[in-house]
Amino acid sequence: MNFLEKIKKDYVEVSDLVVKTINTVNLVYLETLADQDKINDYILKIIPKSKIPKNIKNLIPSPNVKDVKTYEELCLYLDTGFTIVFNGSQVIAIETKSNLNRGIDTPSTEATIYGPKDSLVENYQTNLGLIKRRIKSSNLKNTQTNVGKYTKTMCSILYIEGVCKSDLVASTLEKINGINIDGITDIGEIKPFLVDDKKNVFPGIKMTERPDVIADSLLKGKIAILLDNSPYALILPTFLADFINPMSDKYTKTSSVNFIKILRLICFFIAIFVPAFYVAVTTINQETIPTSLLINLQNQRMDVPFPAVMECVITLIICEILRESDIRFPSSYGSAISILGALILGEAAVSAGIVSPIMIIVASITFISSMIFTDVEIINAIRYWRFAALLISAIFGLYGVGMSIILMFINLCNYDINGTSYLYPIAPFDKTYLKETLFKMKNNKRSKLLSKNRIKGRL
Amino acid sequence: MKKDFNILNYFNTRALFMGIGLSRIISQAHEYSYISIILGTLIGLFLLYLLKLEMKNSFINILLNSCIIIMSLVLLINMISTMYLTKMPKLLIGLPFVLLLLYLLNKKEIVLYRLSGIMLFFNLLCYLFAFFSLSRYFTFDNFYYTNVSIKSVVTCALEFALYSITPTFLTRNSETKDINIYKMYLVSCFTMGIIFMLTYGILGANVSSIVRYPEYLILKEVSLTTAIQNIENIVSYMWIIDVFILLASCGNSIKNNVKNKWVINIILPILLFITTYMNDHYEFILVLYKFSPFILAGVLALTWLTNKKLIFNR
Amino acid sequence: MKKIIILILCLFVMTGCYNYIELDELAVVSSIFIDKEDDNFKIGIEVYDEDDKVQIFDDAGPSLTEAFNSAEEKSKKKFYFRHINAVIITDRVNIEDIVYYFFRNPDTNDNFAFVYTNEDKIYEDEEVNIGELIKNNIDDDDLCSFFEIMKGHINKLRDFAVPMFDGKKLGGMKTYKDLEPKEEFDSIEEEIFKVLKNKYDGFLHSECGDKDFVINIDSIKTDFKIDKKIKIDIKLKTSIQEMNCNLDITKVKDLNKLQDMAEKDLEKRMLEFMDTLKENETDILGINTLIKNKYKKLDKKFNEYDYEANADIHIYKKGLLLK
Repeated sequence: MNFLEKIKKDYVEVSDLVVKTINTVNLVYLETLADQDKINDYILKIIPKSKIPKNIKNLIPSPNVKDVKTYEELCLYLDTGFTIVFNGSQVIAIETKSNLNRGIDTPSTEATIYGPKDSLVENYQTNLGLIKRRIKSSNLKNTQTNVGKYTKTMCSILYIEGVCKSDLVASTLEKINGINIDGITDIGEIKPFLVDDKKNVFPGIKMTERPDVIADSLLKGKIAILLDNSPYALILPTFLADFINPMSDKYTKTSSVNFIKILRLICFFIAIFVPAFYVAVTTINQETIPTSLLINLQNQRMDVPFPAVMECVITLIICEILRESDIRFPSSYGSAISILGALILGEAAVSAGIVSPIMIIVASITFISSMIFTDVEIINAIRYWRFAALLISAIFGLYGVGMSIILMFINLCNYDINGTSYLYPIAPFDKTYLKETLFKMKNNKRSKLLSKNRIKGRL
Repeated sequence: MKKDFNILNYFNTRALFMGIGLSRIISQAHEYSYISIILGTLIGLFLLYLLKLEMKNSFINILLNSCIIIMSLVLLINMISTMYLTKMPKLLIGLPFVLLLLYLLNKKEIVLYRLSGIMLFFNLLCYLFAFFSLSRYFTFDNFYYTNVSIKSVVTCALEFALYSITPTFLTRNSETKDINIYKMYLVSCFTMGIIFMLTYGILGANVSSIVRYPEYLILKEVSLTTAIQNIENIVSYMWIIDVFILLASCGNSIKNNVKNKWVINIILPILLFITTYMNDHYEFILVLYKFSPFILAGVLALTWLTNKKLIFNR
Repeated sequence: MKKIIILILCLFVMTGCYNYIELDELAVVSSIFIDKEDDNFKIGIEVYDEDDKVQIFDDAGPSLTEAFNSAEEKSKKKFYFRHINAVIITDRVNIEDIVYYFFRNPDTNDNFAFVYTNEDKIYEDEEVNIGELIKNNIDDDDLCSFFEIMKGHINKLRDFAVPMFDGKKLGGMKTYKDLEPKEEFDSIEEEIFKVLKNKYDGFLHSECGDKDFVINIDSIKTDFKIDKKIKIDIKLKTSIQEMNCNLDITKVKDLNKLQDMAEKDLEKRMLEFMDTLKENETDILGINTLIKNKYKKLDKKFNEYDYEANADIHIYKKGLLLK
């Protein structure tokens, strides 16, 4: 009974707390989280009018009834929408959560042509269900824990026992339990606790909203992290090659998809080094341009007052501003922004003599190339290195471009993901993982790094 | 770790040929340079098999590594100053290179091995591109008879062995010895041999012996149709990568021989200043060009002599 | 990360831009004309301009560098030699100076053509880009490229030939021995030279009685066999390009006759060509090298040998027409 008094004392300013007394039975629930119909069906109709037995747990038809031992447990159940029933000395929690969810939507950031069209939602149980529907095995385990001192958000590590390496799960769990913060509102917030990426701009963990991507990663021997109230899941460990290629390549024909995969790899370099290359070639190493093109460029640049570097920086920054405003704007305005940016700004800048037409082409190629990557973080990282390479190449020309390539790779090689290099299938060379990511080839093995159970299709 | 070290060796074997080894051997052995290369490869292989090194004397090792660093840095900066950035002071050309080296050397040692794995792809890309676009210029007409004595062919074979194995010996420690080291050495020598043949087959005896960078000069012929020409500055990244990895592994060797790892941040800038001084006086380069095999032989001999355990493999 | 940013900024501030030059400050040179008069270099420089036109700068100076510099002052832009198409020289110029000037200078490309001219002035029209005209009309620029001349120049056993230009079109060639200009050949003899050099993929004119026919060379294989005599073996695979003879080539007999006629004609012209070379002692074919390759010494030079020519012309295509 002292639990009830304590609740009344602690929840004194909480307006939605309801305490209802029927005979000797007390019900406590938060009316914003609980569903009135469920309380009515599961509890109120069941409790007998006269003689109340000592143990009422068996009477209650709710599918989820829990015994409450401690006060902390009680508060957690109360805050997640359970109804607490005090019957003499017996305290039980009955699930009466109201449905605050939206329906399962189509993926918005990772769109593909083929493949399933469902995506994760904010509800943890729904998300778990979406994944369990794909992997029907008791080997799919989920270790649960809570994150955040105030929010107590449910966090769950998913892995397949026997495929995944157990030390990876243990170390990740340790890291999550070690998180000491007030609260967490989205899964992106726990990323810095899992991978040390302060010295690197490239993302260390992949975020995905597609349950099929999660299922596929789990089968490869990776682990996934789900968080309540977050429509994204984290996949660990992920390397640069995973960011460049989306998983949905699996659903397309091998011979055509390899071409696209090579193209993406080239686009990665184009998106970073093309402005640097342009500046190097037009200001220091002019011999590399074919003669007729050189004369053409020369005529285009006659009226432009700025040096080529400045011109390049101006154009790229304008493009960044356009992109940023396009993301923030409501989608109905998006096309207006595109027209304004692409047609009016580009055309007017050329005719006003601020930039040369070739610069517009260079900026567009760079941007289109960077847009093929779905992850926003990797686009940001590409932008960072684009400007660094641009500045170095403005001084040293093509020699500077070479230097910046080496600089970027030193930086990437220094990036550790769970004890392995970020450039994993190449830098410590691994044929098996290479066949799954950078190329698509016939492969019936799992990568040595991710799994001890090397042969696919063996339990 | 062992495997990674062997990739490192691919670059170490090739790097000293840039700007010095290749032009020296071609200008002496002429049309018989292929015999020199084959002989030199065998001698190098024999030396690799024979010597088991356990470097103990750290001061001598730092000195010898510095010697190699200065040598290849002089050659590289001189090449870049001749071909890429003709008006830039030589100190400023060396500066980003050394800063990049320091950035790499202040990381963990594994980063160097990973970097060498990545750079191998770039190197082979440049190499294969150059090979396929140059092979059509190759003619056997250039292999005409010039009075080459057997003595100079043998000398060149010895020089080839010296240029190719000295960096490997300096930078390697006892635990990294396995059969792959020979494989990588052979692959590396094979690629060098092809470069030799292409250079001689395109330029001929006379032109290749009067120019400083024949291996760079042939890259000027690289072209994709008639539109894309003069891309030698891009294709010659392969030499820059070679020298960069050589310098990094020498620096790494120095780093392993000092107690305080931070000392490398002082040693390398000092070496850069010495290099700049040498580069500003062309006599040094001429001396280096003339006596480089003797310097390398000295380095190799000292490496061997300062070994505490002078044991053969068997 | 901060370190990298600071590093880049430091570099930017400290180094300045030494080789930095904007495109609009460049004067891209298409071709150079070099003449010499009383120890004074006279140069003409053709620079690319807008709308496929060219600008021409003339100047003179005691050395090439000074002449270029004073022309550069006139143009107010920096001359850029990396896209140069051709260098045109006269017989008053020492070719060694020119070759070494361009070889030492890293700011040139190595693909331009060396061309000889007899004219005093070749740049007259600003509408015609002579550099591109020469570059486009040289079929196989290997023969007069920079490397070929360097090889011929440094190798004392061998001489070289450069194409001739008369201000309007290319034709013929000029031979050089020990850097001295020697015999001139017209364009018909140039054909033979290229055939002997194994490089020709063009047409061959031949006569049948008072009429003539043209055959197209599809593949060529030339071989010098050195013995007591030097035997030149040539195997050609050809197709008929133009036919004015009174022969019925639907018959095997007449086809063979045609082949024989072409062979004899070619053999005769080859021997004539060799005689001219022997007279002037200009070894532009590199036969001395072949002799030295075989005997390891050079007791007898190429002009002391007798020559024998043997051509084997095989017509294997006649085109669409039957006859």
